Amino acid sequence: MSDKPTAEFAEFYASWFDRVYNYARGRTGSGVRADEIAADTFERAFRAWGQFDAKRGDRRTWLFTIAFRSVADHYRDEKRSVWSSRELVAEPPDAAKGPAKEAEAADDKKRLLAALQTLNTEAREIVSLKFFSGMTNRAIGELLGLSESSVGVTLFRSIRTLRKNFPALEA
Amino acid sequence: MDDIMEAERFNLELEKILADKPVIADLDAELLADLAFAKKLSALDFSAESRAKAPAKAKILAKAEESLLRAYLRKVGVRPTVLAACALIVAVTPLAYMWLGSETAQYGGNRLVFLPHGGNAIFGSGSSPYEAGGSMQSMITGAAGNYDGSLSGGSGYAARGGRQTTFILPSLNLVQSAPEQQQPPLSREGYGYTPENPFERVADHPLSTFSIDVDGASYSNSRRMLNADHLPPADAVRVEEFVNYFHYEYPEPSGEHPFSITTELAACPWNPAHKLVRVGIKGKSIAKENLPPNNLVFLIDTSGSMMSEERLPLIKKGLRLLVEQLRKQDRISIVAYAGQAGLVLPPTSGAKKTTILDALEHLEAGGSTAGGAGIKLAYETAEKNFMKNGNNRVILATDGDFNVGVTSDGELTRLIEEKRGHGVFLTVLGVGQGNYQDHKMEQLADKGNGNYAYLDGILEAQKVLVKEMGATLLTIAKDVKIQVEFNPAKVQSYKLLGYEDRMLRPEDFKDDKKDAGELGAGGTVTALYEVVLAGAKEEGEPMVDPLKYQKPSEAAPSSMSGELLTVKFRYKQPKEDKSREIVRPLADENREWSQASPDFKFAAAAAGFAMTMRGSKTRGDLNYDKVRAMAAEGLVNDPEGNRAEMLRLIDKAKLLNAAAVPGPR
Repeated sequence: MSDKPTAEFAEFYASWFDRVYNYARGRTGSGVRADEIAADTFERAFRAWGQFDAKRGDRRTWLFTIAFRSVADHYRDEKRSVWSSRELVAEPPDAAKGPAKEAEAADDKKRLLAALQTLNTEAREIVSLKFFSGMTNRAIGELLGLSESSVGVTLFRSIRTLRKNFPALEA
Repeated sequence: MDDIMEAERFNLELEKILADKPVIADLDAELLADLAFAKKLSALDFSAESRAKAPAKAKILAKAEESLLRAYLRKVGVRPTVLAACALIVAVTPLAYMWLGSETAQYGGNRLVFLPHGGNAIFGSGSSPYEAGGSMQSMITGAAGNYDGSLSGGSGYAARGGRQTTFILPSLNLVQSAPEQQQPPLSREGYGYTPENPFERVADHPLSTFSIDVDGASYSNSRRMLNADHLPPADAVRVEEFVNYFHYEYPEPSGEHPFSITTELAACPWNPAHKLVRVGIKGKSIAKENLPPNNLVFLIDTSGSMMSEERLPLIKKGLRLLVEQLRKQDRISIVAYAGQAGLVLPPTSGAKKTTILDALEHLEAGGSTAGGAGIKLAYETAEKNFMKNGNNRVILATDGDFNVGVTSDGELTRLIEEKRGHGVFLTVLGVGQGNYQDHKMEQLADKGNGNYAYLDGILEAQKVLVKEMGATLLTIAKDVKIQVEFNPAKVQSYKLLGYEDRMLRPEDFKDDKKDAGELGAGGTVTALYEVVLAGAKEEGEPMVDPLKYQKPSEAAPSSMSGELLTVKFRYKQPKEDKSREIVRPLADENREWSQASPDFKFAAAAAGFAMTMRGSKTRGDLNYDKVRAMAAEGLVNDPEGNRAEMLRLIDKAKLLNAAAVPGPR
């Protein structure tokens, strides 16, 4: 490997990490998980860097395909380990509490995130991919083995359900 | 459903709104509200809360440098094994110093520099700033700052300056330090709830029965938290594991039984009206060269969560220390879980250290979680290579976020219990923080005829895997149970300090099907009882009316009237299914606490420390200052500095407690 791909990867990392983190956060609801998944995703992406084939899709779809699999692997672990008490343990507290306004915004974010977690897994996957990765409905459909239109319908129904169930979050 | 048309319209407009383009004007209000909500969702950004962003990047880029280095060395003709060997020298040299000299010596800043010249690698050691040039310098500096010196072979960082290539292994910092704790130690760590043992009235419960617990994991895990400036949560503190973390001078066993028994009695230091009883056992020590052949299977969790420095890299360092101890009659296999799932190293003689170390070295955390049966494969490997006269053991290294490859808790328990019957023992090495599953690990070890240690640093790895190797690896007595019968003429009530999750029913004592703890070669176990003498007026003691239908207790025969209690031990030889019993009465005597042996004082201090941090309700006037004073009197026989370290931790706990927000603690 020459210096060039390393620099290239560093740049790719810088521009995509936040999106992958947000996707994993929305998908799992947990900051700890999101960190694990985002780190894992980029490690996998790094190893597969040379295998990316531009003819088969763009970097975004490629990266989020990896992220999607990482989530699936993490959840497979979770399903099997019945012991795990991770659901019961609170997330680490926020590092700093800003002024009231910021705190309010943070509260709002938390509530939205919590609302997302009320969706079923497939809907949550679709919503997270859509809003955090920015993939097209068609690409999401291909990844999940669904038709483009059924992705659209799930997306629409999820948004409406969330909006009706959490009227307080409408601003 | 008839909302399909609406969904289509929604999605059409959604693309526009996500691209900040205007939507068509005549949309109905509901759809507009949906779109506004969707827009709000898409603006959610939590990335500022990420804690992995910078470290994960540094880690990945460090790997890039490593492959760069490997490629270069291949080109100049240096094989990776040479690299591993060089790194091994790096790893072993400071440790050798540690064994020879003071343990607290600091090796920060010690760097080795490799300078290949025309294909011949020369290496020198020094603490001068390394020379590096070009674009790599910043990366190296960053990496060396972030990681506390990986000892792993070949995981150095490469730099090219002009035509010369300089290979730098980052500084070896072997001193446990936690300067960069950015994350509170608790996030989703799992601890079991264990209410404290109460005082039991002898009239109601003349027998106290429990299984031994040799583990010290709770102490090292709590130490990790204290070092990171956090008081451990009450459930992470197990009194008996604090006591048993330390080594006490009990006599070597002589005669037919594989362990010796020591008892001691004195006034209770935190409540002089009470007495404190110490029961200690020590397993037969076996010199390293006389240990039976080992058939060890390392089952190493290589899932993504193991990536950070204090996890897989620490496990590698620890196991490397262990491998160094092995002999040609030993067999090592390595099973990795996740990533390169499967048998990484088939059974290999302990003489082939390079092969074993090389296989260890190539384990990497991360990657997809491949099809499950890690623990199954590990046990199968152990059984396939079963040594009839040897020590057959699976060593599981994990943060407990471990996919064991079977579908449920019950199935896993059954699997482990079944394998236990086949003579394969289990050692659990726990690492990591933030998602640490303490309760799960303890249960695993408990079910699997095993023991359990928490590695919070290389020194703890050395303690568990080198200094106490016999105790960790070789079981000399299994299912060791203790039953104490109290003499009601002498004792009114009693309390066992700790062992809450090791309690047994009285009838379990003689039931050979009932599992209990294992004792390792040279291992010691200590139990403490706080005893209230008969006739004492106790405040806050549970009051029950005298029983109406029970016979008044008959006085013991006068020949036994001087006895306070009788301790009975049951154990099995490692390969036997029938237990044997040892009985040892303890006479009452009047001894002040000041007359207690230093070991007794220290054991009581360790228990007191744990009880204070747990916020025990029966700790009398015990506080951190008293605990510290007690521990200071027990500072003997401390070549490793473990006892002195506890004093430091007590000071820290006191400070943290004073600084804590008033709460239930």
